[in-house]
Parts: sequence; structure tokens; C-alpha cells
Amino acid sequence: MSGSEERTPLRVEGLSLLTSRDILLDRLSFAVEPGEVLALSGDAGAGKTLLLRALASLAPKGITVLGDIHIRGRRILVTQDGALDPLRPLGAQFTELLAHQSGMDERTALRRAAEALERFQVPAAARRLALHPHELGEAMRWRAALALAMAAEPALLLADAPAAALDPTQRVRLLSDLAAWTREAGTALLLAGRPQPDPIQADPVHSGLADRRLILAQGRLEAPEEEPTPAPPPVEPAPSGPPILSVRDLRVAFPLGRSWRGEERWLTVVDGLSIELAEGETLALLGETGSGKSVLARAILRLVPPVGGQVSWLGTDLAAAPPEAMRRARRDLQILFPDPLAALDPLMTIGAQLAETLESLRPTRSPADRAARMAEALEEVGLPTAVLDLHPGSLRPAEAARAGLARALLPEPRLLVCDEPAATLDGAERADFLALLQAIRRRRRLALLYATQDAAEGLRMARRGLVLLLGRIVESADSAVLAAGARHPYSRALVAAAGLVRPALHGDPPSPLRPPTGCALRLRCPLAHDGCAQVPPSLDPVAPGHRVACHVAQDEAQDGAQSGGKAP
Amino acid sequence: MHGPAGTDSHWRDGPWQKAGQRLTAHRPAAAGLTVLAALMLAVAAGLVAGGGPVGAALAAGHQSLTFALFAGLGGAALGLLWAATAVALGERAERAMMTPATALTGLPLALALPLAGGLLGPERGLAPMAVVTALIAAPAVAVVARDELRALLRREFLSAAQAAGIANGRRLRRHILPNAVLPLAAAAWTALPRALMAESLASLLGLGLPEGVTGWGTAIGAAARAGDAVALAGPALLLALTLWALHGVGDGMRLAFSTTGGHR
Amino acid sequence: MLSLVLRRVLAAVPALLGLALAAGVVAALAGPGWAPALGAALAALPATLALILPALALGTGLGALLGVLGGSGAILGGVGPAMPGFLLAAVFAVTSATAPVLLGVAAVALPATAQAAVLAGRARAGAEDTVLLAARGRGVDGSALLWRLSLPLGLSAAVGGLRSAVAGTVTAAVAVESLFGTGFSGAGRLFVEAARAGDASMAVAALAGLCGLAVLLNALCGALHGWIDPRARMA
Ligand code: SF4
Repeated sequence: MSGSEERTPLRVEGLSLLTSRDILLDRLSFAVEPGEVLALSGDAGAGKTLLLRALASLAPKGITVLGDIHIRGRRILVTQDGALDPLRPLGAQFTELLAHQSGMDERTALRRAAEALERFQVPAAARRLALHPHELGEAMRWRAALALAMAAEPALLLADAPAAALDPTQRVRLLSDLAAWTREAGTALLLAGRPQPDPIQADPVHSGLADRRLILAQGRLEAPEEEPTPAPPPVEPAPSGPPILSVRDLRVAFPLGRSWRGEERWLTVVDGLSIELAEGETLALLGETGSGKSVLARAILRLVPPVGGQVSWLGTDLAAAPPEAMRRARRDLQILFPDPLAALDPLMTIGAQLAETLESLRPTRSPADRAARMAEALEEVGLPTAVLDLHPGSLRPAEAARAGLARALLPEPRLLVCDEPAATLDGAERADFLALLQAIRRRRRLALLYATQDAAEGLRMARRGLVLLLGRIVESADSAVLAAGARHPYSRALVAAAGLVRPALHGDPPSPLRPPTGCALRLRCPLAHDGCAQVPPSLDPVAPGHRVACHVAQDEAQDGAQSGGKAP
Repeated sequence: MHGPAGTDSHWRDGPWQKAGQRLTAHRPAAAGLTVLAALMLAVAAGLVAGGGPVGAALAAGHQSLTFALFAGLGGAALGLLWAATAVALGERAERAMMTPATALTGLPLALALPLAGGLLGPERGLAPMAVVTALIAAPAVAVVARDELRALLRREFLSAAQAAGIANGRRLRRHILPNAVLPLAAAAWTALPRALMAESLASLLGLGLPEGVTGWGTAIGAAARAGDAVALAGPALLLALTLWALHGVGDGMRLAFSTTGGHR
Repeated sequence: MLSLVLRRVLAAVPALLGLALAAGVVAALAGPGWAPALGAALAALPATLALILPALALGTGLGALLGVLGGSGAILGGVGPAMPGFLLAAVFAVTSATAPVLLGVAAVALPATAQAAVLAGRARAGAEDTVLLAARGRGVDGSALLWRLSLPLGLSAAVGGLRSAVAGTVTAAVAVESLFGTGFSGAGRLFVEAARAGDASMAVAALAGLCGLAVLLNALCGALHGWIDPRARMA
């Protein structure tokens, strides 16, 4: 055996995992070299988690492991939830692990812990060591879990879909920091992906997040094929005409009870937003979790009561609309929910729920006509009519998503509001559903409002994009403009994360309870200057059809306009 | 995928059937249901056949079980009413109504029954005792039922119904009530073992069922005071078995029906 | 820690005052002599506490350990609902020829043990694929995993469930005191005898004392839970 093979941290030969009935993984062979990042992707249930557990000698009971696993040096598995000991502060967990593994004394261990956290850009790391895991935000908890693993200096780090629940902006940053560290330390990193939407699943090699990628499918490993880049969507002409939906200064806030001084406290989620939408127009609402896109979507349909502002549909103010007018508006405005299965009443058959919707929104239809409509709608979304007799409990997620779409289409709406409509789907099912949605929208010439945290998906689905931050618009422009040249640092981060490039925002989103003064992005923004803390930027045009709320971007645009004006 | 609709197997996929399957899949619940059914039959048989220590123990079960059933149902109804009113009246009233309920669950409420028994004297009637027992069982039911109702009202399909323009009254009738039935049944069930325990404790102390009515607790208390281990064994075993079965079924119902996740 | 205890106990003060007030009003309505009755009830409380406290502590600790280990703990937890304290008290009272004190404590402690075993077992099972797996992934194993992680988690769950256990324990103590002739003469005994005699003021005073005891114990258990589990410190 040559010297280099001696140092290979992980070499697997002919590894099979069996239950008494099935072959789960079939004779896998691969190796990970020191400092290499290997991404492992595959559909849900392909066995990625199982493989990682087997490599850590932690295969679940009832699973037989055959074949050879050669591991040189220390290996650490970071599980899917990255759980930490909930009962003890971070510092104690570091010292215990380091003392257990390398007999390190407490002072050294604490110093090592602070350094490890700093590698993940945790500010004031030494102070965080006194905190308990439940006192940390989700992103910070993940940083701590990965820092804990890396502080132990493993030769092999197995990471199972780390930080899958985080926003892309934070996740991509975390993963690239991790990859940079393992490369530097010569640790072999095996990174498993979670079902889509997931950067590891897409292609992490191009962006440098991983060195190599293997796909697990039907129990075997495959090298990835070159995927054709999706053809750019046909450019649609900008719809013209008067706005059908107009939202003015919409404010949504939830009371939080009184503070001890007796002041009413409010959590403002949507803060004075204005939108106009023309017939057939498509608009993406982009933003991280907590940016208010989902609440905005619901407030437009009056599923959440706004505390101020106005939503008008075809000139009727929905707040003041009498029930009859409201019903007519509901007919035109339909919504797709993020969890389509939860949006169906589990005790009623799909047919009954579709019929109920029709009956309520199109009461003049005859029963025969209704049945025909329902059959039509199901056909349009590609479901067999037999689904009408089923209860939601027996639908798969993809079918539930289509049933939800069918229900939304039944009353023949003119605007479809989508709140992460494919959040429960992955892989090919997700792509199929989005393609179907797009096709139906074109055919029916629907206006579309599409809220998502995946900037790439949102910009593909819609012609224009709105970027939301803490309930306000920070940038609005055509999708093509946003994708190629967003001006606001926050929009740039969203677009970068969607392309797996390390976004340049540091830290975590501020709490909506105590937003920073001035610009809401100030504490995370790479361009922030003193002025940002004093004056909140207003949303001003920087180019035709392109508005930005950022001091620096506005100044740049002005300079550009001046120099551009002088040049010729 | 699933078979086409309309086939014979399709009735088994209904949500109610599935809930039933989930319940019986929980082994203590299945065992508990069997034990309860067997006990009912045995008690009925004991009433008819009578005689002997076994017959006496079974006959005592008739009194205990009947009392626990009525008092428990009363307590369940009271608790559900309590929770439903609290949720319906809005946030502030809800807090004002539920804080005392939560506080009461931490107290040894079962002791209120012997107190009532003592104060009402030896000529106490069954009805007032049942009312007190119902009051004892109600707060715990109310707390669980309120959590269930809150969780139900947050569910997404209600938003979907609103988006479909379904009026509030209809939403309540068609969506909220049917979906509340099973979780609330699970909450209500807990009143039964609670009522049986309270009654047995009071009767054991001689302060429960009125004189002339012999329940399991009465028999156990008499045997304990007389030091008669043989007389004690029958009713004690039957009571233990019944309590175990009631708890098992209640646990199963909570796991199978609850929308709050069932981990409390 | 001290401040946590203080906060919990202070939070229980309104409830205690309310109980005392209610007891006073009822006893005063029932007739004269309520002040001595309340005094007698209070004087009898320490004896009851001496029965409850060791039983609760023993039961919770042992139950948590058994529950985490599984096996016998799971069996104990499974039969737990079948043996409420008063039933055990009756059974032990009949069979107790010797050591009635120990049996009395056992009758109070066993249900608490069973409940703690159930909660601890459930907590461990829930942590198996999350916290415990994560710790194993970091190379922690064997007895370190049990003593440093599983047991504290189980104990935290058991202590968190003490609220309902306290009420059950007080009830069981009343049965024990009234059924075991000698050796126990606390507030429970006082309560039952007063109730039998139809002495309203004494019975109400004793019951109020027992309820106050439960409230105090609940507050202390809350503080203990907060000490073991930082997540419980918030509320
Ligand atoms: S206004 Fe300042 S802080 Fe805000 S995004 Fe622009 S540069 Fe950053």
C-alpha cells in the first residue's frame, strides 16, 4: 500500500447495508482524501443519513453492515439536527469534549472554543460560551455545533445536511466557512445534502463549496452527469393596463401584550408596504424568514387582519367591502399554502372540499356544471378524478400540492398568491409542480404573487421582484435586473446565496422586536457607514423601473448618472 | 399509488377509521379496551349470579363504575364547557379563566370529596357527591381541552376555508367541530379515571358513597380496617385493573387523536 | 439559584394567602373555634411533610434512574396507573406486621417512582435520535453518556412532571395516615377524623393546610426543575 493511501481518512470498499428484507445500500466504494470536501446528494430516502451513521459505527438496530470501512484518525458525526446538550452551557460542552478526547485542560479548551467560534464569524465569542443552547438562535446553534466538532480536530468530519432549516443566506455562508476550515486543517469532509431546495443537492462543485460530488440513487453511488442549464424563460412583454390589485401603506402588527410599564407592545411584521399589480403581471416577494412576505401574502387576502393601510381589488377597498363584494373578490383572489396537506381538512374528501369551495364562491352554478368544473380542474393539474373520493390523509405531498392548486383554480381566479407553494416537495416533483404552475399561469393569464426565500426560484417564476426586509421593500426591479445586478447589499446576498456564493452579510437578522435605528440592515451590511445609523433610507428610483432603499446604492447611482451624463 | 377510489378497500382509508387504527395500534390502549369490555361483562354477570366473595366484589364494581361513569361524564362536560367558553370569549377572558384551572390541577383536589362526604353527613345523597366529583375532574379536562382547541384553531385548513369564502358559522359547523371531536374526546376521557380514583379514595376513608351503597373503595376500606387480606384482594385487584385499563385507553387516545403532539 | 427559589416561592404567596383566606372564611362561617383549628392544622403539617418529602425525593430520583435504564423501569411505569397511593396504602395496611413506617413511605413513594420512570423513559426515548445520537457522533459513549447526559435529561423530565405527582402524593399521604394506625399523625389524619366527625372548621382548616403544602412543594419543585434544566428557568 502506498504512503498516500495510509493517510486517507476514509476509504470504503464494498459497503452494503442490509435489513432482513432489503438491500439498502449496495456495495459502495469511495474514499475521501485529507482536506477534500465530498458532497453526497440523493433524493429523500436514498440512504444518505444511514450511510453516514454506518460510517460513524452508529447504524440503527436491525441493520447489518457488510464490507470494509477504513478510517484513519478521529471521526466525528454531526447529526441532522446538530443537537447540543440542552442542560449545559457551551463552554462546558467544549471543555468536556476536549478533555475527553485529548486531555486538554480547561483554560486551553476554552481558548480553543472561542477560536473555533470565531472561525464562524461569531462576534464576542468568549462571552457566548456562558450561554445555553436554547439561548442561541438557530444559526448560532449550528455554528456552535460545527465549531464543537471542528475544535476536536477530527481527521474525518461527517456532516448530515447541516443547518438545513436555515435561510439560504446564512446556510451558504456557514457551509463555505466550514469548507474553508476543513480544507485548511486537512480534515476530510463528507457533506450530505437534504432533499431540495438545497445547495448541496444542486451543484456545490461549481461554486467551490465542494470538490467532488456523488449521487446516491437506488442504493448505489453515481457520478453526476452534466445537467443542462435550464433554458432561460421566454421574456414576456410587460403587461400594461391599470392595476387590478393595489396595496397602499399596508401595516400588519400583532399585539404582544403590555410591557411592565404598561405600554402596548406590538410586533410589526409588515410596515407600510405599497404594491401595484396589473392584469397578468407576475411578482416575486423575496426575503429571509421573518421578512414578512408570508404575512403580506395573507394580509392581501385578509386572512390576517391588517392594522392599517388599504388593499383594493379592482378599485374596491377590501376592508370596507360588504360580504357580497368580499365574496366576489375572494373568487378572483386565490392562494396556495406552504403546506398543502395541512391546508386540506383531514376529515373531508377532496371532492367535498372542492365542491364546498365552488358552492361558496360560485353559488349560481348548477350541480352538474360543478361536477364538470371539478373534473376539468383536476385534469388541468394532472390528477385522476378518483382523487375526489379520497381523504387528504391518503395523498402524497405532490398530489396534495396539486389538489390545492386545483382548489385554487376552481373559482377561476385572476390573481394567484403563492406562499412557498413547493416547500414540501423535492427533486423532480418540485420542478414538475413549478413547471405546471407556470404553464397554467400562462394559459389562464393569471396574475401571480410568489413569496419565496429562494431568490433564484422566485426570479425564474416572476417577471418582477420585490425584496423585503423586516416588512419593508428594500429593492424592486425586473427579475432579470435583480438577477444580474441587484443594487441593495441584502438583495445581492439573497441572489448570491441562491447561486451558492458566500453572501457578504455578517451576523444574524435583527430581532423584529428591536429593529436597529436607521437602516434595518445596518448591523449586517458590509457597506454600512455612519449615515446609515441615523437616517433610514427611503425607496427611491435609481433607474427606470428600479427602486432601491440604500444610501450607498443611491449615491452610486447618482454618481453613475452624473458621469454617464458627462461622458458623451 | 393508492388503488382507485370506490373499491372495497377504500372505506378503510377514511380518517375516522385511521384514527381507530392508530388507537388500537397502541398496545396498552388495545389491552385496556379489552379489559374494560371484559369487566363490564363480568360485572353484569356478577350482578345476575351474585354470591360468594367474587360475586360481591363484582357487584361492588357495579356501584363504583356507575358512579364514576356519571360523575366522570359530568366532569368532562364541565371541563369542555369551561375550555370552550374560555376560547370563545377572547384572549383576556381566556387567561382569566384558564389560570385558575391550571392552578387547581396542582392541588390535591381529590380530597374535596371526603370533605364533602363528611360535611354532608351519613345521610348524604348520591347526586351531590357526583356533582363534587365532577367538579374535581373538570379543571384537568379544561386545561387539556383548551390546548387542543387552540392548536386546532391555528390549523391551516381553517385559513384555507376562509380563503374559500366560507362564512364563520359554516366554518365552525363543517370544519372546526368535526375536527375537535377526537382530540376533545381524548381530553374528556381523563375525567373517568379521575372520578373513579376520587370516589374510591373517599369511600375507602368511609366518606364517599353513602351508607348502604357498597363500592370497591368501601369494600377495600372495610377490609383494611378489619385486617382481612382475603376480602381486600378481590376489590383491590379489580380496582387496579380498571384504573390501569382506563389509563391505557386514555394514553392511547391522547397519542392517536391529539393535535398538540400528545406529549404533555 | 437562590433567587430562583425565592422567585418561585414568592410567586406561590398569593395562592397561599388565598387558601388561608378561604379556609378562614369557611371555618368562620361554620362556627366558632376556627382559630385554634387552623393552629392545630398548621401544627400537624410537619408530620405530613416528613412523610411526603422523603417519598417524593426517593421516588423521583429512583424513578428517573430506572426509567432511563429501561427494563424494570418500563415495567414499573407500565403498571404505575394501576397502583394509586391510597390503594397501596390499604394493601400495605392489611399486610403490615412489621415496619409500618417504611411501608407507609413506600405507599406514597411508589406511584411517584412509577410516574418518574415513565417520564424519564419517554425523555430518553425522545432524545435517542437527537441529543444522544449527536453526543455519540462526537465520540461520547458508555457510562459518560449515561451519567452526564441521559440521566440528567431523565431527571429533568421527571422533576418537570412533579406537579401532578405532588397532588397525588398528598392524597396518598392522607390515606396512609388514616389507615396506618400508629406512627403517622399528621394533617391528613386530622382531616379525615374531622371530616368523619362532621367538624367543618377543623376539616376545612386541615384541607387548606394540605393544599398550601402542595402549593409550596410545587413552587420548590419548579425551582428544582429550573436548577436542573436551564430551559425551565425562563417562565
Ligand atoms: S443604507 Fe447603509 S446599512 Fe443600509 S443597506 Fe445601504 S449601505 Fe447598508
